Amino acid sequence: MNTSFLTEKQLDDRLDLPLILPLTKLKATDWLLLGTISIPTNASLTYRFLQLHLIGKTSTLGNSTLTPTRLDQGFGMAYIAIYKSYVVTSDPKSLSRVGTAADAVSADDLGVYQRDTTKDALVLNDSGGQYSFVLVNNTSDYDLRLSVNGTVRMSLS
Amino acid sequence: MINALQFSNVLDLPVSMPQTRIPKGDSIIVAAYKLAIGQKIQPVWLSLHLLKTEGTPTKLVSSLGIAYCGIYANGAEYFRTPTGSLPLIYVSSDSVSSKMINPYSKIEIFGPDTVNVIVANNTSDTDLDISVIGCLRLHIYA
Repeated sequence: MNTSFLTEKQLDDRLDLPLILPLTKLKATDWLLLGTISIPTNASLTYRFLQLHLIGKTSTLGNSTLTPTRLDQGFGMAYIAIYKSYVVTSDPKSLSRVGTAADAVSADDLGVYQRDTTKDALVLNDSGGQYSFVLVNNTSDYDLRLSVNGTVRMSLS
Repeated sequence: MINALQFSNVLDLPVSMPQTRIPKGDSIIVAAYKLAIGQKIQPVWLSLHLLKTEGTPTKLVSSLGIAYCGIYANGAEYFRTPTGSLPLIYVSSDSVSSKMINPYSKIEIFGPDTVNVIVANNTSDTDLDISVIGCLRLHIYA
């Protein structure tokens, strides 16, 4: 274990950036950008912690006993994934994600889901790279109420 | 080296606005912090992603982009329509893109003061979709 002390310079160069979404309704098939982070020269981004709270679901067909129809079978009813150089008009379900499967947070049903913090953190350090965190309603027939809470650490040098 | 007391006196205050539609000529206060005497804030990160715009928007304030996010001191809590008053530091965009302030160039705002982070739609005719991420570093004992 590294037990060295921080210098003032090191502390100055590290900052925690928020990824927050208060309770928000996301309609079936829709998606929402949580935020975009650009990597400055010589900097790196470390992503380890993100929680997705699926608070409520409402069937668009008026029948809440129906099993939700998932658009991407690899995920639950909602998920958060990271995309590079993301353009909001692009459906994220058709785009390549950044990181491993462990870096996407997926909610199968009501409850709080989080990135497994025991997994290796995702480190991104390509200067000028723009990374977007996108929340997706992965169903075709349920409106969802969601909140997000997370943070990424930026090291400027 | 940093000791435990110094470390405990430094907090990263979040500035976060997920994708939000701001009507033409309107603005949103994303964060407001009141500084006491002896405290200071460093805006260490402020990035704005302009997601969607249409046509050729008409600006209200020509010296700023069609969308901007800025930090105002001296309290600006009644700010609504963009005016000519420039923020202390800001990030501004004229097109669909992601922009940020220079994180290596840090300004300091000393208390007592009220600091507001405001996102504005600087057009008279176009609604804009914007997201913002930022971090203000608070030094409790400057």
